Amino acid sequence: MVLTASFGSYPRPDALREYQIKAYGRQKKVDHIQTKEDEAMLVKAMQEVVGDRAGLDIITDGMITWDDYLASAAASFEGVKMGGLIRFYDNNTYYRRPTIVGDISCKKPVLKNNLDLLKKLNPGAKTKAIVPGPYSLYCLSEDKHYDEPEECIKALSKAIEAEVKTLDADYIQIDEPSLSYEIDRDLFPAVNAELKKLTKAAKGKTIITTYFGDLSTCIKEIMELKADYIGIDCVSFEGNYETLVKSGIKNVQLGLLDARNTKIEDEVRMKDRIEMLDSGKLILSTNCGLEFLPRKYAMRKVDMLTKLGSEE
Amino acid sequence: MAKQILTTTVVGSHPRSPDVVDAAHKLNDKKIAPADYKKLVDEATKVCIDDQVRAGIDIIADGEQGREDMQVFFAERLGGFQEGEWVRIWGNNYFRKPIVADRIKFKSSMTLEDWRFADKYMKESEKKFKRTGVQMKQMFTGPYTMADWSFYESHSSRRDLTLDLAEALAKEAKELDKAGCPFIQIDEPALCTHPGEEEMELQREALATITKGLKAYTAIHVCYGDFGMLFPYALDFPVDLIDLEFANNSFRTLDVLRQYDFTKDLGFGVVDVHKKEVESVEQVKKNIRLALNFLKPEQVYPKPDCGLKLLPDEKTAFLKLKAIGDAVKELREEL
Repeated sequence: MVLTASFGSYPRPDALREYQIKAYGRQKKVDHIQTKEDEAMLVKAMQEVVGDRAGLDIITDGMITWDDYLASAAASFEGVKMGGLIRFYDNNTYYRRPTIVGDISCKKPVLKNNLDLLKKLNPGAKTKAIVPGPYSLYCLSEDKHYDEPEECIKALSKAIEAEVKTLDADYIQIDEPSLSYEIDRDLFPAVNAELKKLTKAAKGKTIITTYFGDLSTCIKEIMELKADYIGIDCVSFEGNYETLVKSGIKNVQLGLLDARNTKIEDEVRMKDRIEMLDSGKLILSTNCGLEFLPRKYAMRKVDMLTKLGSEE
Repeated sequence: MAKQILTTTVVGSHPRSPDVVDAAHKLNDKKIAPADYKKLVDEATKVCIDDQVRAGIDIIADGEQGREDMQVFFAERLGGFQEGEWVRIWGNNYFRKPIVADRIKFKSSMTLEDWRFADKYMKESEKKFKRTGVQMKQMFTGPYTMADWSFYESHSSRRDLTLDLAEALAKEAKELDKAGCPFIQIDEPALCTHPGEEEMELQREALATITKGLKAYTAIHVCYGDFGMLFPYALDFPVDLIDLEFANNSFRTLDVLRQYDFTKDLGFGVVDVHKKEVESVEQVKKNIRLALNFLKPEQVYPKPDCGLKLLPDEKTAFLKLKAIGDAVKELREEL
């Protein structure tokens, strides 16, 4: 069975963008307290991003409040301070780097709020919640507290687990771009152990995603991951699709469409790729979140996904 | 270009004047005439030049007051681009990411008029602050970064687009060279995002297209990333100087450079543009000495890590530059 899914992030509607600039300035403060006007704007924006993706089988909240991309999840953790701006992987986008200055914990899970809103606005479709994986969050942060990376990864994982336990979604996606972008084989056993705990804690089906990286550098480790689906970016590196086919992994969230370029893919080529994978358990998606595109072009990618899904 | 020891320079941008920022918004909304906007840009440029001359910098820039963005500015002036739409870049900051819809065409010089204005005013500024020998550089965003930071629909690959852009930007460099610009800098902040020999070879090819036959001294500026991935490939780049950040990464990149026979000149970032605290002259001297441990003083060009536009105001920018100017003045006497 082939399903179509929103990967995660989605461009913020114009009204929300303009409101946020006016209300928060260029950077919202970490200790900002949500106002009624904020909530009203969020509901309106969420309605729009839900509407844009109505043709997909599985949708997310669009991550429209994640100002620091994946690192946003760390902003509410104890023991973490948001530091200076740094590049988000190989993109021309930047995030405040979490600086770990004390014992990490998640006393107040925050990710549930937008998921609940999504469910309220979208009672029909299946929902997907996104959390950062502990390895990627470790790579995106600066650790000034723990003696060993494994300790830090474990602490981050425990905090993420606290979020995961509150997420009542059909699918829980654990984003681990760093696994393919900058794998550390010495750390992988510890990372994999933590990922197993997280998938076990999830209420819904689980997806562990990798993206932005060269799959051939980490395919052995990716094959060891245990989740209902493995997310693979078939765009960022030319050979990733072939590496995936050779690996024999069949339970895939297939990142077929390029969420970082406006060009629309050749439909026949995309269909060939779906068929060649010969999977009975497939989710079609973009290679990463659509927030990297302007909304008009993001909608075109969604239309393409919907079309591909309906014809399979 | 005449060689001296510890030639000081800048990367290019200065904090944008609040008047210019305000006027740029009005210009977008057609609430101000282009000529009035230009007047404000020119006045702000003069302030940038005075700051650099007064601070003791040897090779200065116009401060990029008229450039709203290092990508969009050029995309708006080259053929082949269509106007982009809003894409978030950080926090609540967005830019109109350009879309390449056709082959790139060079229409007319994009930076020459600004360079001519700045070069002319620099001479007045030298008189005002009793200095001689100051030179005016010009910078433009390189083809690798222009390609990487654009959407593209008309080119077969990022490589195809990069080399097409290089052909157009070579014409820009030639115009500057012909006019007598002594120092041409190609800004490539995206270079550190794609590791590997193939990427570095693409950058080398693109630079070779641009710098071929130029009389001017040439430089590449790279920032934001792991500079280790540039080497040893960057040593073969056809430019005279490689300009990098150092202060912001606690000078860790020096460990990489030490592994090679570094025969080019080094644009050496000695003050951090991400921190508003101004480094002391003593600290800057100490920083410069780190490069002198393995490079000749003629090879070392002390400068801020990156463009100063990230600093909160013009005063902080001036003080950071003055710390460099004063530190070099003392070191030249001590060496």
